[in-house]
Amino acid sequence: MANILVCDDDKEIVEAIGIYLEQEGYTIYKAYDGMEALKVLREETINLLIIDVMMPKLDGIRATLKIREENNMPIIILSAKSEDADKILGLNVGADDYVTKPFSPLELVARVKSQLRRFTKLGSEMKTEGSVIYSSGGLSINDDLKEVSVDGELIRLTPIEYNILLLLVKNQGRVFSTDQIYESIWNEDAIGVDNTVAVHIRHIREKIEINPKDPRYLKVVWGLGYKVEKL
Amino acid sequence: MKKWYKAGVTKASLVILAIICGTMFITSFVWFGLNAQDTDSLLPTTRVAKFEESSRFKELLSSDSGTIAQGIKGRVLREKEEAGELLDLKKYSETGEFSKKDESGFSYRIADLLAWGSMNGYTMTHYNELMYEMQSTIPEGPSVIVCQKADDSYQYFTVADFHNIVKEEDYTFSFGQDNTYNEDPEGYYSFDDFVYANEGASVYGKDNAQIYKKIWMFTGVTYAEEYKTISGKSILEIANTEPEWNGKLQEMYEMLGSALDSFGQAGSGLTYMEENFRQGDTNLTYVYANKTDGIMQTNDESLKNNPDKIKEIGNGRSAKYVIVKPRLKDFDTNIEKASATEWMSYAKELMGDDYKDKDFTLALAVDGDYPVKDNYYEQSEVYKSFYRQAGDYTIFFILGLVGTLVSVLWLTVVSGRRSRDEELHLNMFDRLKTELAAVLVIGAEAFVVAAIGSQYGFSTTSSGYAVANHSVSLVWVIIFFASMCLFLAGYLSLVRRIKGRTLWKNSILKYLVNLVQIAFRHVNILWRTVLLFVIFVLIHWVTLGAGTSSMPVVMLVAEIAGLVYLVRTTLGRAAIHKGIKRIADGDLNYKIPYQFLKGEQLEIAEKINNIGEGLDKAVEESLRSERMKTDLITNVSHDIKTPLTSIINYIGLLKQENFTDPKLVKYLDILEEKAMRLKTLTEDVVEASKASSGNVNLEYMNINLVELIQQTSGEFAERLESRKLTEILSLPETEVVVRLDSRQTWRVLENIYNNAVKYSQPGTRVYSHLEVKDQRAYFSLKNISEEELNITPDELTERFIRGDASRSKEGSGLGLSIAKSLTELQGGTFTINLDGDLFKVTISFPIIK
Repeated sequence: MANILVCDDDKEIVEAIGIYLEQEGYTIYKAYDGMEALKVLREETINLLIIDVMMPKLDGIRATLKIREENNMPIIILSAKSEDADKILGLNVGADDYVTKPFSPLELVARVKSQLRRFTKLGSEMKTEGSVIYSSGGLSINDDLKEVSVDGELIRLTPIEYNILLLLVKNQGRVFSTDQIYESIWNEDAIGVDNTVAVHIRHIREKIEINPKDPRYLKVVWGLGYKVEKL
Repeated sequence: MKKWYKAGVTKASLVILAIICGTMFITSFVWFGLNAQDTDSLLPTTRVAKFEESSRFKELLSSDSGTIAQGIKGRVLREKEEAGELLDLKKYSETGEFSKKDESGFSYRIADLLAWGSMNGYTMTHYNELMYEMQSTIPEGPSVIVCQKADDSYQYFTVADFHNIVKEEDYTFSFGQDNTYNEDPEGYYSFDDFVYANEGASVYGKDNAQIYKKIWMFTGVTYAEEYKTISGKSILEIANTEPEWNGKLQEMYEMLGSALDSFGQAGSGLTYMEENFRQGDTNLTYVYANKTDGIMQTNDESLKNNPDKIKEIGNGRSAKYVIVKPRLKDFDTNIEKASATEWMSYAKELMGDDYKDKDFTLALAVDGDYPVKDNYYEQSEVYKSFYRQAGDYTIFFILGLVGTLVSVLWLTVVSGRRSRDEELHLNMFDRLKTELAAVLVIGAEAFVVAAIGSQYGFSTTSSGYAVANHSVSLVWVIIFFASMCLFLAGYLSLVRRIKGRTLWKNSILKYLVNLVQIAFRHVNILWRTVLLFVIFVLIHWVTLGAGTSSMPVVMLVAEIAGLVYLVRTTLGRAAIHKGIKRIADGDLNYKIPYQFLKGEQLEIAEKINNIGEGLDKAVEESLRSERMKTDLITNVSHDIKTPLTSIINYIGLLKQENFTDPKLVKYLDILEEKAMRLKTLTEDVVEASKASSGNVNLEYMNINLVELIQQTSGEFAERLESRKLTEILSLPETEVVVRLDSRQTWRVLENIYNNAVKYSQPGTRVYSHLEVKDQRAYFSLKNISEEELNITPDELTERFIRGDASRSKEGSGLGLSIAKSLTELQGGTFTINLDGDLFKVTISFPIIK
C-alpha cells in the first residue's frame, strides 16, 4: 500500500488522520511543520502528502511550491481558510485537492483514495479494443458497456441519469440548460417547468462526487444550467 | 533721560513754540495781505526802500502823463479859439484842419465843443487800483422822426414837435393809396410807440391831401444840443433848411460825436491839469516844446528855453524824469522799467498821427524830495511807513513759518507717545467720535473768528495807493492765537487717531455703515435681493430724471456693478451646486473653492465643506470598524476551526469503537450534532459579517431566474421529501433574465429554502412562486411554520438575533440575515411577511429588457 505523509502543526489532527488512514491500510509518516515535511520527503518514498497551510517555520503553500519543483505526487491541502482566493492559491501552487477544516474524516479518506487511484492507475489503465470511452479526469464512461466509473470504481446509474451524464461528458465544457437537457433526453418539448432535471442531476452528483456540495465533475452553473468540466 | 524727544516737558514746550510761531506767522501773513497791494512790495527781493523807485510810482507818473498830454492838447485848442479859429465840422472831418470862417454852415466854436465834451466830466473806469480809463458820457438827445416828402426831400421833427403838429393838424396815417384810417395816437403808451407801429405809413392832412409819402424813426445816435452852431441853429434846423445837409442827418451826428469825444478828453484833461498841476501845487513838472508848430507849454517857466533841464529840478539830484522825443533812441529816463512806447503813445494822443514828423520834446519829472505836500508826497509817506515795518514782518513770517513747521512736524512724530513706553496713548478728546471732534474744533474756530472778528473787522478801503498802512490789532492777534491753539489740538488729535487707526474705526460714519451692514445682513435674503434691485432701478430713474451729462456714466457704473454682482453670485451658486453634487455622489473629500464666494454664499460653502468632511470621517470610521469586525470574526473563526476539526475527528473515532451502552451512543450523537452546529455557525458568522459589510466580490452576469429556481428546487428535493414537505412550484414559462452574481444569488435562494426546510411543519406544502411585475422579478417562498412565530420580521434578519429558543435547530439563525444582505448588495429587495403561522419571504430584482 501507499505511503502517506500527514503534516499539520496540530498533533491531535495528525494523529486522528493517521488513525483513519491506517485503518485503510496506508503507511503513515508524520510531520509538524513544512521543514520537517521536506525532510521526510527526502528520506522516504511518499505517495501522497496531506499538508496544512498555517504552520510554523515553513507554511504549506511554500512547502508545496518547493515540493513541486521535483516531485509530482498528489498533494491535498488542508486548511482552515475557506475563502475562494485561498483555494485558488492552493490549487495554483500545485496542490491536487483543497479540503477545508473542519472536514469530515470519511470525506478526507475518500479524497485520498481518489487521488491515489488516479495517480497510480490512470496511466496504466487497460483500454478495451473498439470500445468508445468518454472521460473527464477520473470520470470515464464506456458507452459500449454502458459503464460509468470514477477513479476506476464502477458507479451504478439509472438509464436517465446515464443519458444525462453521457450528454454532458460528450459535450465537456458546454453548459446545458434544464430545458435543453430535458428536450434531448426525453425527446419532447419542455412544457412543464419543474425540477425533474435538477433532481436527476442532484442524484447523479451524489453518486459520482465525493462531496456533492462541492462537485468535482458535474458542476452547477447557477441560473444557466449544468456542465461537466474538461479535466 | 533717553527718550527726551518725546517726554512731556519737550512736548509741552513744542506746543507752546508751535502756538507762538503759528500766531506770528498768521499775524505777519495777514499784515502783508492787508498792506502789500502788489507782488513787488510783498517779496523782500523786489521790495525797494524808496517810493520813487517802486513800480507804483512809475504807474502813477504814467497815468498823470496821459492826463497832462490831454490837458496840453486842450490848452492848444483854446489858444486856437483865441486866435479866431472855429471848427467847420465838414472841413475838420475831411482834413482835420480848423477854419477861419463858417463855410459849410455846420460849424461850432472850439470853446463850446471843449465845454460840451467835458460837460459831464469823464467817468473813471477802474480796472484795478492803478489802471483806469476815461470814458465820455455825452447826453443823448430826443428821438427824431424822418418824414419823406413827395419830392423825396426830407423833413425832420423831434418826437414832441411832430406830436403837436399831428394833434393840431389832425393828420391821418395810411398804408394804402385810398385806404385811410384814423388811428388815435393817444391810444398808445407813448407817441414813440405810435410812430414805431406806423413806420412806413403815409401821412394825410384834413382835406385828405398827402402831406408826407412815408415816415419812420431816425435810428442813429442823437445828442442833446447844449450849444448851437456859429449861425445859432440846431442840427435839425440845418438839415431841414440847408439843401446841402438835407438827408445827411446821420452823417452830421457822427461828425459831431467824434469831435465831441476828442475835444471832451482834451477839455477834461485841461480842467484836471489846471486844478492839480499848477506850479506850487505839485511836485510834478512838465514841459512840452513843439518847434514845428511853435507851441510851448510848461508849469515851470525856467524850462522854456531848455526842456532838458528838467533832469535837474529841485536840488538837482533827486528828480525822477521822463523825456520823450520824436525818435525812440532819444527817449531818456532814470525810472526803472519805464517803457518808451508807453510815453510815446501820450505824445501821439497829444499831436495826432503825424507826431513823428514834428520836432518836439515832452518831458515830465517828479522831485523825489517831495517839497510840496501833494499826492506823491502822501503815497511816499505811506510807503515809507510800510517799508519800515515790512522788514520786521518778513522776519516774523519766516521765523513763524519755520518754527511752526518744525514744531508741528516734531509733534506729529511724538504725539501720542510717551518716554516711558512704546505704546500709543489716546486722551479723552481722542476717544470722542471723529466727526464730533471735528465739529467741535471747526465750530470753535468759526465762532472765534466770526463772533470776535465781526466787531473788529478790517477796514477794506481801497485807496489806489501802492501799499496801505493798516496795523493788525491786538484783538486779531488774540484771535490768531486762539485759532492756532484750536488748530493744534485738532491736528494732533487727528494725527493720534490715524496712528491709533481709530480715525475711521471711531467715527459716526463707520457706526452708521456698520448699522446698515448689520441691518442688511439680517434682512431676509429675498428682501435683500429686492432692495438691491430697487436701488439699481432707482439709480437709473434718478439719473434719468436729473438729466445731466453725467447720466450715462452713472448708469453705466450701476450696470457694471449689477453685472459683476450677478456674475459673482452665479459663479458662487454654480460652485456650491457642483460641490453639493460631488459630495452627494460620494466624493466626500471634495472641497468647494472659496474663490468667488462672499458673505452668505461663503458661509454656506464652509458649512457644506464641514458636512462633507464630517461625512467622510464618519464613513471612513464606519468602514474601518466594519472591516475590523469582519477581520476579527474571520480570525476567530479560523482559530475555532482547528480545535473543531480535532473534535469532529475524535468523535468519529469514538463512534468506531462500537459502544453497546445506548447512553454512550446517545451522548456521542449529541456531541456530533453540536459539533456540526458549531461548524455551521463558524462558517455562517464569517459569511454574514462579510455580506452585511459589503465585503463580497460580485461578478455580474445575465442569469435566468427560472433556471436558478429549478436548480435550487432540485437541490432541495430530497431534503424537502425527508421532512414530508411538498413543494408547489409556479414559474413563468419564459425566461426571466436578471443581471446578478449567480453564486451569491444561489446563496440567497439556498438560505431561503434552508429556512423553509428547517422550520416548516412536516406534511405541509411549500409554495415557491416567481412572477414579473413592473420590470421586476418577484420570487416568494411560503411555508407553514412548525413553531409559533413570536418574533418580528426585522428580528429574523438581524444578525445574531434568534427567534425563540425552540427555533434553535441545526442552523445558525444567520441564514435569512445573509440572504437579505446579499440581496440588497445586488440591488434587490428582501421582505419577510408573517401571518399567523404563514411565513413568506419575498425577494425582487429588476429584470433585463
